[in-house]
Amino acid sequence: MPNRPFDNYRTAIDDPAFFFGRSGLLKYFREKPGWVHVLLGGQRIGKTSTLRAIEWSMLELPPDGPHSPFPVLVNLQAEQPRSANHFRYLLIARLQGALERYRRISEQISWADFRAAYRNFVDLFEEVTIEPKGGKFKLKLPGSALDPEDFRAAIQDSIDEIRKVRFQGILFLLDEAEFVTSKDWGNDAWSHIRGFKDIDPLKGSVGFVISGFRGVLEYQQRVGSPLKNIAQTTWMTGFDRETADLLIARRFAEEHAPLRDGDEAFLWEYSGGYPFLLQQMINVTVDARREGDLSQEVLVRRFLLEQTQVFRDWWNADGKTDGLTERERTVYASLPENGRVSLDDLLSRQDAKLMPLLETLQILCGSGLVREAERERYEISSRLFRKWTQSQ
Amino acid sequence: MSRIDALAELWDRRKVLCLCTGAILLAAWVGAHRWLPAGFGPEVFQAPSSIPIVGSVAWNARLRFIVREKEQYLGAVPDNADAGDLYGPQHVYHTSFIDGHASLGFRVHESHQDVVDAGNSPILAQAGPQKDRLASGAEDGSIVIWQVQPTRSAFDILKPLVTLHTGNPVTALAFRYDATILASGSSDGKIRIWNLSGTPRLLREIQDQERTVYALEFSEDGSELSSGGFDGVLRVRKWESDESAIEEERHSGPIYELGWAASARWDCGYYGLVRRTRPDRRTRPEISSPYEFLPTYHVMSLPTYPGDWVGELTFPVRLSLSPNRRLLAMVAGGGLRRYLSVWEQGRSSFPFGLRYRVPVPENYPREEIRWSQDSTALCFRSMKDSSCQWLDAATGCPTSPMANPVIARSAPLRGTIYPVIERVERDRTMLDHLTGRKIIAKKTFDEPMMIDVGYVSRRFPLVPIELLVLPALAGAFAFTLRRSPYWNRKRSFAPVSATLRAFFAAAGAETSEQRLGVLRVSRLDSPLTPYAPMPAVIAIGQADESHIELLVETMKNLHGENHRAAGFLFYQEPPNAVALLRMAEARMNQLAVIPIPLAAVERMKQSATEARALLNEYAERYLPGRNLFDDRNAIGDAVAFFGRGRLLAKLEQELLNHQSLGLWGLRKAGKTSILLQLEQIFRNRPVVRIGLEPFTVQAPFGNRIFNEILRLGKEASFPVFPVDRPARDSTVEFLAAVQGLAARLGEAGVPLPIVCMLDEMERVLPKDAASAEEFNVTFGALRNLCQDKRVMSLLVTDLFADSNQVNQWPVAGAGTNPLFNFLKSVYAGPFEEADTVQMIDTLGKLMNFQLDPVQLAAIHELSGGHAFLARQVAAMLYDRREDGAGREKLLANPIRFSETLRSYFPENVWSPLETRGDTAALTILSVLADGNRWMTDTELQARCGQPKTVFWSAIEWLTQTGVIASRPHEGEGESYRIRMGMFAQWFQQSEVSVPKNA
Repeated sequence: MPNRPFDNYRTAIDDPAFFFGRSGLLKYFREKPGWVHVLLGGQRIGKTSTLRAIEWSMLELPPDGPHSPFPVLVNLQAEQPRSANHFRYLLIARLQGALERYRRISEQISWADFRAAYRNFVDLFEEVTIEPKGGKFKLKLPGSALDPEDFRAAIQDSIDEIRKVRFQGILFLLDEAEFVTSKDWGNDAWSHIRGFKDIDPLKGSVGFVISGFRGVLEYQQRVGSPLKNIAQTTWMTGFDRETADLLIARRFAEEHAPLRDGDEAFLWEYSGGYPFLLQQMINVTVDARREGDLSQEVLVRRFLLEQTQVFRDWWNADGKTDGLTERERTVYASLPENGRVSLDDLLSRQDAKLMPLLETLQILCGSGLVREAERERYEISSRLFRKWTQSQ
Repeated sequence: MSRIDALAELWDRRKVLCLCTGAILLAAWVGAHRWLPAGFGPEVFQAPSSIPIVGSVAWNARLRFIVREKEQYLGAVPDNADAGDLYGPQHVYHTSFIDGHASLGFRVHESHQDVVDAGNSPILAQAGPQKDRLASGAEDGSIVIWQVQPTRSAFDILKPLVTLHTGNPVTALAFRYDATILASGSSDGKIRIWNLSGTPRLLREIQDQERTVYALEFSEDGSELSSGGFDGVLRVRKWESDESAIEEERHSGPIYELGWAASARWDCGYYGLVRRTRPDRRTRPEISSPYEFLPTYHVMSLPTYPGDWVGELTFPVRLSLSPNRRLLAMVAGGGLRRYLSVWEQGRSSFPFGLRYRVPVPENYPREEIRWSQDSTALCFRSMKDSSCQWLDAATGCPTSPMANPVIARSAPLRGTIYPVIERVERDRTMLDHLTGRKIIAKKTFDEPMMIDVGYVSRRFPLVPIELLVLPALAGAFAFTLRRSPYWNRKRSFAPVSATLRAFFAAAGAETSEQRLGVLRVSRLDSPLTPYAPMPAVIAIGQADESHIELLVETMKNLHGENHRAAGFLFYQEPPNAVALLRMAEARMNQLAVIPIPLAAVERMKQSATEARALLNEYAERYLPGRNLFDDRNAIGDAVAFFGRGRLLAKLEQELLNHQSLGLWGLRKAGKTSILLQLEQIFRNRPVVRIGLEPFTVQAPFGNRIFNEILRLGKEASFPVFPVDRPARDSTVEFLAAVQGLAARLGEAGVPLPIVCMLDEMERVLPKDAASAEEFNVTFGALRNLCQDKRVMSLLVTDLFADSNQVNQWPVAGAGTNPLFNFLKSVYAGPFEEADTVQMIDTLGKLMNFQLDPVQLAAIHELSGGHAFLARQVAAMLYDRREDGAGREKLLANPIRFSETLRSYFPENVWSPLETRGDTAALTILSVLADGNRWMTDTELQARCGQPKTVFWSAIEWLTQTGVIASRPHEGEGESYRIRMGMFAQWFQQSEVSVPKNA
């Protein structure tokens, strides 16, 4: 089995050359950089890869072109902030680190060679220490913590620094935001961002993309006005057919595997455009092709065998993961094998109320398992997952 | 802006230009003095030119030439020459024109006491038994009939009797013998017959010639009129009848003159002389060639012809008719051999019979021959140096006016010109009857006799009247300019303009003042980069349509008519309705107006980052493409802020009256926006607004609030309390500091009280003993400043009125709430329908998105008048761009199509009540939403089953915040129903229920 990048395409894509689709989404974020966005999507739907893409798409903008905000990607699950003050500290520290890396990369490689520059940018590790006192921010709190006042001062100073490298404002890309919502201090952290983005004079220069899934979706701020009141919510979905075909052709070409008639349709049908599934199915198909001509039935069996654990987590029948809930499983199961079903039909079949049904469908779509093919008309996206659920 | 304002601004901004313009105007004034009434300015005889006293002297009224024959001497008269004809009321020199060239003078002859047509002008006619009528025609089509009044002096007086108008240059005139009928010919070939007896009137128009009429003559009995002209046809007609010409005779060239001599009619032209004896018209006309060259060449010295004959001076033929019309002189031949022939009238059958033919001396000038005025001598004049050589007309021998007494008597010196010169020399002012301007002519006594011709002009220093009038006018103008409102506007604009310049400079942009109240901003950051340079219009006071129009005009000037552009409108007071309409119209034409309150600029002018952020924020909001309905942040922008007028006025009044307030309302009801608006209202007062979102009860917060308040002191050295320490250690010092601050503000003339606004109070409501103490200490101090010291008014906001209604915090060991019942409760309730409609309609217009009244009413009903919800419904409609049935479907159940609307009710209405454990409110909502109808308080209470106190408390909150509506019941009490239509929809389509153990 060849050694494929990104752990056999199981981890997030951080190389622009391997990223496909999402152009509409990237354009949307570029056009509204000063907003608070909540980016929701199911497991392995490509949220982190999209955040990476937002990051490089903003770094890529030519210095003499339209100025973009400086992107700062922070993986909160990896960073494990300990408090609201530490959370704010991390934002500033990662901002300073990214800025330093950008400067150093710019000295070494021209950003015209964008891919190489970005790869260096990602790989370079720059530990930045924010001096508590006497440093550039004149912080009052010692150690790795920033209170709101210091955070604001740091943001203000950073925007000036960023301007020197021809960026305008800051866009924080907060990945795995469930980590914050799951903490007691998360309320303070979000409330602070809410207040900052609502009335602070700097609000126009600082944007946030808060990425997560169920934890972010269902998080209710206990005290204060919810952050979501000022946020734009965007749901991830699977690839469209065109992007999927492009990806299939590219992968086959890279692996020097013959692409035969019907391969694209077969992979599209069984993956439903779900990026993770599609990549894994391509892996299996390409590997199988080296063995000879295997029938589609054989391939499907191999897919199922390989993805069983993943599907089990998604299906979440035992309620141990943040996969589907009972209601979601029921709605999913009620969708027809082939063709589309309207929302009204589902309402009558389910004998459900509209709001919970809409929420369920939204989550299913955001999970990549269902597709809203037309307005209020839904269909199963991945036949493979459907096949697996039928076997349960 | 008035014109005076515009001039004042022009003077203020372009002094050099104004001074130059003033100088030009003054020069123009001086140059235009000739158009002023008589008496203005000293008359100066300018640029005299000398003309030999030969022939007649005249100017044309266009002031370009002086005497056609003399123009080669004079050159062009200066354009500003104030010249005219050399005549006056007492000695007449008339100017006439043919085809814009010829001008000719005539004058009274001393010896004949008569008006002599010295230049043989074809457009002069004299008639009457005593030759007392004179007609003159002019280029402008006018014919003046003159009365000749003999005087004892050398000159007769010509008195104008009447002026006739023909519309075309007059080229020929002829009187009938009795001067009661006048015939005029004009350049369009038309002959007009005028009756001058009584009131002059036009009798007839004859148009049988196509080209210019050059000659007209009545027969001796006056019954026939002969005419000739450019078409070369001599016509004789009975002028009183409509019949065509009784006789037509075509010549080979134009006919320039015709007339009667003895019993024969003669005419002449290029073709020579033709005479016909009378009365036998059948007689074959004799074409006489007095000399062999005559038929071939131009008849030079006969009446003034159209065309430039000066250029024909080398032609070998010169011909001249004597003033008394009895002698015809002709010089013919070229080279050294030239001959003078003189014909005399009546010597043969031909009107002119040859008297003699003699050779002309070789040294005699060749250019021109002229008769002396008494027809006794011939002058051979040089056009180069105006020298004259004379021949005796009787003998053909050389002579001299001085040497020959006979000639001398009749020479122009004494007979004609000299008296004129003398009279002129006595500084007589002569008046041009055409232009009303005056000229002066002077005489020199050198030989040959010359006449100095010039024009009158005025120079500085001006005459006293002008010296008085001009400075007075200038002074009055300057006074008017100084009194112009422009200077007041400038004074009021100056600080604002300086603020904006500092603001833009901080944002990295460059500014220049385009005009008063308009800046030109360049080097702007994204997303404004493509729009640079952008104009910025300042509106002192309320922005109105004039500001928008000015901005639009400036945008067009900067970027052209059909280009997309954007401009800033900085305002003190929000734009009025008409201005908003103009903004909408501008947006339709791709001209985006970005309105920014000046208060927002003043707050952040010092900070570059904040300045850029502010520009960015407003640019994103108002540049094309933005859904203006979808505004989720607090609105500090007065243009996007609607309604609340009465609420704001009430809050303002209460706070100024030292009444502390609690502003309660639903989330997204606009509480923070109200605070931002109040901040603008109180921009000239000490006001501090503290958003408590970043605060937490887990840590001390009092000192942060204290520090924020003391920042009002700016440069003054007030203490800064450690933010990580509890407030209890700082209260005494804080109270003293605020009193000191108040004293300083009072000394500086800043009106008190300090308005302290705290947003999101729930962030600091006590959760434990420590936070309760912090709360009590902090707000105890603030209450002291409000109630005892009377230097502060407090305004706090929250979803619930807990900070005002809870006396004892539900925390062990906590003291009592210092704000208990201290705050006067005010609710940020929903809009009335009119406010909702105005908001949605106005924002829609700004995006060229129209909703009909039914849809607007539906939006109000669905939202219950909650601005955020109403805007979100409209935003959904705008995004989906459905119309007709599609839009109706969207409006029927908006929460189905908008996740924002769908999530609003659980997160902002239901969940807070659920978290709070307010079973009563939840039950009331569920009962009302389930039925979605009006329900009496009795029925509602019965169905809810809640204790009365709790029930009514919940009813009050729900009513005041606008979740439910109330109205008087027919009997007693009130009826209630869900006010927000979408809440009922949400509830009915959701699976929420009232928690049993809430």
